[in-house]
Amino acid sequence: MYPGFDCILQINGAAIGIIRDFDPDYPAEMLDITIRDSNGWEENVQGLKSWSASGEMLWVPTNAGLQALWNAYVAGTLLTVLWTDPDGYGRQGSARVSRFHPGPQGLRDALMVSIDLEGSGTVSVVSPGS
Amino acid sequence: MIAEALRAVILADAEISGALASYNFGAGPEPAVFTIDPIPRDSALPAVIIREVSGVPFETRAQEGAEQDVDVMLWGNKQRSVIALKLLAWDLYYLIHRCNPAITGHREIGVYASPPQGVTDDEGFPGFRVPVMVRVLRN
Repeated sequence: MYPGFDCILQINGAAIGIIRDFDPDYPAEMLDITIRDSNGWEENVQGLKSWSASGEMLWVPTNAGLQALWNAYVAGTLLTVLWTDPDGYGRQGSARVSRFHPGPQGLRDALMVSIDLEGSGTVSVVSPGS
Repeated sequence: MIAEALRAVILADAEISGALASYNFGAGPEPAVFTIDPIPRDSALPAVIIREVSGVPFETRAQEGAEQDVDVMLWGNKQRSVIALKLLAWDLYYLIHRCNPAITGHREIGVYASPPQGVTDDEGFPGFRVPVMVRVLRN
């Protein structure tokens, strides 16, 4: 069991220390193959898998990670995204930035940046020493 | 730490600190701005007391910090008009709201004060409370 703040996020090999919340998600499409002989139960098979992630970080314009995210957003390029728990177990994949949101710039709030990532291609399991 | 930083902000304002009583902290008379409560019995009024009252964590994965609630209390003399004290309280509010205090070992990310609230203590001394929230991250 680990607290979220001990998890590590790396973008293109560099740890992103300014991140606050990070929420990766790995859904799979489910294809309905129910027929009359399904005995009254729905049946399905897994279709395409995908992954996405969202995160919130502090606005620090000189931070290399934040710059990399903006540059990838502008150019549409793939980023290597790795997250692990403190022991080194996690997932790695490639993603593009689908949303870069420096706000809301609330009068009484610290300025944050929200980002959305859309995965592209295979996700690999990461373990210590891999 | 944060109380001391706000104390420095108040002391740096000649108009506000000049309207306060003087107290000898050991190095000669200075404006009566305290970071302890209760203040020494031999202090005259008006005086300011700065108390860190509560807070919550504010942080990133790499940096710890806090959103600290601070009460800046201005206490006045029973024998004097409250009107002047209220004006001084509003000056304090405008001075502290959105100020940029230098906080040792930390980066400040917003200081938000609320308008003064009138209070009295058990002995009838008039006062005003200026609630402040200070957001900081460790360097």
